Amino acid sequence: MKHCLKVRLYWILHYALLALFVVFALFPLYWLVKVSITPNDLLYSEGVRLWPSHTTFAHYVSVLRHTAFPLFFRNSVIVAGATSVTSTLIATAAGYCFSRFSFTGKFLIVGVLMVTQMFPLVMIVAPIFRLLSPLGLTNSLTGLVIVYTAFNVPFATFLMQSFFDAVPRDLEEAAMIDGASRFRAFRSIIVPLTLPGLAATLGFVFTAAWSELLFALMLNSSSDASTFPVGLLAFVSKFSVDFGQMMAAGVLALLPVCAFFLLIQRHLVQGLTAGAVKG
Amino acid sequence: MAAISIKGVCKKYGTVSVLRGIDLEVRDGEFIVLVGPSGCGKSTLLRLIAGLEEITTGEIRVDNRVINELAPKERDLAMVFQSYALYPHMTVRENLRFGLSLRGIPRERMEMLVQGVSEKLGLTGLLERKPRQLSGGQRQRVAMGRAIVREPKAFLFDEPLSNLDARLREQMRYEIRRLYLELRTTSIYVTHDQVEAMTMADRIVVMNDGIAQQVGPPQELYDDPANLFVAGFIGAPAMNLLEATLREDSGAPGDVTVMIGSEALAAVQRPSSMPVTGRVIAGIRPERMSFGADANGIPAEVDLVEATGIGMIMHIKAGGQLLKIYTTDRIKFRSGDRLAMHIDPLDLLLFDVDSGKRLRPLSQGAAHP
Ligand SMILES: Nc1ncnc2c1ncn2[C@@H]1O[C@H](COP(=O)(O)OP(=O)(O)O)[C@@H](O)[C@H]1O
Ligand SMILES: [Mg+2]
Repeated sequence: MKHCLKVRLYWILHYALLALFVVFALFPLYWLVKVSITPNDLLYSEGVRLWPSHTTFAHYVSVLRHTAFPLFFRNSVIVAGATSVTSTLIATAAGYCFSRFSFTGKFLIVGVLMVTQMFPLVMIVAPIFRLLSPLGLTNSLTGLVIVYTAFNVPFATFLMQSFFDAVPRDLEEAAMIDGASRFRAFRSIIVPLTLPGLAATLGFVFTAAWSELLFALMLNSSSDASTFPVGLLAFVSKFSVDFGQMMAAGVLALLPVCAFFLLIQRHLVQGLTAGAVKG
Repeated sequence: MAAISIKGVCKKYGTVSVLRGIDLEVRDGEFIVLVGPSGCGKSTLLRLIAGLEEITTGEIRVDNRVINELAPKERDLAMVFQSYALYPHMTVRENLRFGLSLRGIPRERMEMLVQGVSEKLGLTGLLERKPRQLSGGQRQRVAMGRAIVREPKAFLFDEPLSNLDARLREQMRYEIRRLYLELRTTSIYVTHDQVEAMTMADRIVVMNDGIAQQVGPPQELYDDPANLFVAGFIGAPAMNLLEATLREDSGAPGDVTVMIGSEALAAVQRPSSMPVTGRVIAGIRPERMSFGADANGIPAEVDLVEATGIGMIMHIKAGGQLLKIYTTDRIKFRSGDRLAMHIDPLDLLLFDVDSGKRLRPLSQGAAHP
């Protein structure tokens, strides 16, 4: 009886803590949605109420109709999409090499990749700007894709390598003896088995590129080539902040990420726990 | 089917020599077993033949064609892995079909071959399952099926049974051997289990330390080991290896007496190369020793008796050394009992203490009774 009670208490505490964490994590999101549908005249008078006395979609309408936000949004989709696909392709190739081959200079290359992850990016904004501007890659989406890819490839490579490490070598060796070339074995055997890892990497890079602000702000000053995080700043004017529109834009910006993760989440859960159990 | 010829093959990983000059002629349709302790280089040799590792020096030929530089897929061999290496995302049918489809075999023929093999191996009911839904024995069969469905030039097996429990291992051993007798495809089978080696092989290669110690039919290796390593490795319970000295016999001129401690073990023909110190290792199989309670014979004391069901292993102490006697008689000896043992001089094998090489009598060739 006493034991039973102890177990119950344990689980109650367990769920209480989890609930606390979920509330803590989701409350800002809730506030985002709440403010985005609060009419401007209620924003300050009912500022601390959990739910406004009446709601409106006016902010959404004006964000979509009267601001450049749809353009920023499009730019972000292009940049994040291209970055995630390019980075994942490079990381897949590099991760496979690190996992399967030993070659001269491997240690050095891994070391250099690690080093790139070790200092704050602010430090290299200026040099990067100086490098890209003569090439005409500032104020350009291509420039952003290149920079983001460069910064995301190292981590993505290590991520992919760990997924390849979890696939036994026997499998591709069996395929090669069965008559496959190394590339064919990779395509028919290794890739299907690392799909969860690919999804995880894709998702990770996409989110990183989607929400990047520093380089997007520094490299691209023209609004034609701005991404939405920069666009959000436009709602901050000298004298006021248009919270309603800003939050509406924020909610809109969340949608693609949510959709993306919904799409890959089945693979993702597998991916993040892969290696925990032996296939 | 194909003959495989291995000439002076060495393999180094960095500065570490794993294989140190392997020579082996595998005849067309022969079942060869590579046996040796773990780490002796068996898998490495198999992987060199399969093309999964590069040969450092030496040459491997299949059907008289040098294959050193060929990619695995061009060698047309099949391999069964210890882990089975079934493709986890494919059904049994797809696993069997994979190698066939890579070779561009037409669909109908492919289905026919898969059907034939799955009937032969009792896999027909399992074709739509994924590997993880199979038991160990079934996985083993699928791995076999994947190898034979392609009708390759030769089979390579890397400890295919060591993940199975003892009973299943015995059954699969039988099934693999039956299958081989039916197909007669050249096979190289790696194992560390000398019982597997003895029961399955046409010829055994005993390996140690990257060197082939002896090559020959199972019975020959058992009766006539070339050195101490083979003598000690082949046979269970293992051969008794005793520290002995040779004493010049005053009686017969061609004979020497093998002594352990102060006890004379037997008088044997003088070896062709007599060790200067007179010290040798004397080997005798536990089942070749007889014993009794009588007084004439070498006196010994029973240390421990183990019953194996089929027979008894009696650990005894004689001349200050421990040795084993194996007998299928129901014996009544107990610890501490005294007995006398008898040895037929022909059963006594002598080995050089330093090199481990067999010391053969002058007159005797290689043959043993
Ligand atoms: N890729 C490798 N790099 C370095 N050493 C290796 C490699 N593969 C095997 N070895 C070494 O070679 C020796 C023989 O290995 P292996 O052929 O697998 O032995 P066995 O199959 O007889 O147990 C072992 O000592 C092992 O450590
Ligand atoms: Mg091995």
